[in-house]
Amino acid sequence: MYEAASRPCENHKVKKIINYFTYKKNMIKLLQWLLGLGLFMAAWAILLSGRFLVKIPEEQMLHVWLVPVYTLGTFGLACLSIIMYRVYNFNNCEAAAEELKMQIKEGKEDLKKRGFRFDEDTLQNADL
Amino acid sequence: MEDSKSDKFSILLPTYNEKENLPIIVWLISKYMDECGYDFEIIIIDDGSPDGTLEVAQQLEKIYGKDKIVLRPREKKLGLGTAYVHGINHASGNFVIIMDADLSHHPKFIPEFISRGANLLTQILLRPGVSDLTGSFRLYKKDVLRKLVDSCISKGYVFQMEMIVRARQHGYSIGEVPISFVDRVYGESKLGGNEIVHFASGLLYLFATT
Repeated sequence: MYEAASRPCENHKVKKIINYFTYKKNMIKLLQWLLGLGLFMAAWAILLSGRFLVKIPEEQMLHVWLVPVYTLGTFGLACLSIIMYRVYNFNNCEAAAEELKMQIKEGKEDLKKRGFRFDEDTLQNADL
Repeated sequence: MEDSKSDKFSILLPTYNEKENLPIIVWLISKYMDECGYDFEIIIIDDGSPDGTLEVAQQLEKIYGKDKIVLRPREKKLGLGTAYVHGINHASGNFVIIMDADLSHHPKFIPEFISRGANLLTQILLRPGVSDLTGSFRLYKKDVLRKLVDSCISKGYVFQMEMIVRARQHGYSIGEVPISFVDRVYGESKLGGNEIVHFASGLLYLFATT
């Protein structure tokens, strides 16, 4: 989850360089995506043109045109699978919920002893 | 934080209609901070709650004392970012903890945040980034929080994300503590439909500019 630096960065200059690259890394996010998109378009164009490297038979050309659709579809399915997996494995913290309920009771009792006055309807809602 | 005993922790609690949760969370904060011997104050920033949250806060002020419970209410809902700024301006601690007042953030984790802070001194950098960008249970150094709030321009929940992005831009160290998050027991969530639109546009803004 995190990396521990084996030696603290005492050197101010080294820190500055690291900060510069961290900033730069964030800066390139949009450009990274544009670059990736550009490469994808280039590869697709090569396949479509029928020249260079691969020669695709006429019957299969329909599938070449549909490559972006297939890509998006696969991406969509992958996202859906990840979401379903995470929902299925969702970590319910029942123990923490129980502990909280008990502490709410405990807290109310203690505060009442110290002079706190709860509203009447809060008392009635105390089904916890 | 090698010398935790001379540090003071200001816990900011922006509230809106939290009259049932507020007494419990104050009780829990006080319990855990006293048990660990940390010096603290709780700054309650109520934005004119119509349900009487302020009266509840005043009762708590009587019970725990004015130095432990600091009331700094505002007249109406003015937003989370400005609530933090308002809170920092009245904070006498050198560390600031921000958290939700609806009991989904349990104060029992505060001592863990504080002891984790000792590791921050050895500069633990989070390379892949934080695992939860919108969580708002955080411990900051006071001057860092002030600087970050000043450099953020988003509103609403995107603001929490932007704080982390700006923190990394400035080269601040970020550490993580795992917590359990129990859905709120009392009251209503303030998260609405148009927050989603806000969130999406805020995300795009951060994506294109950072």
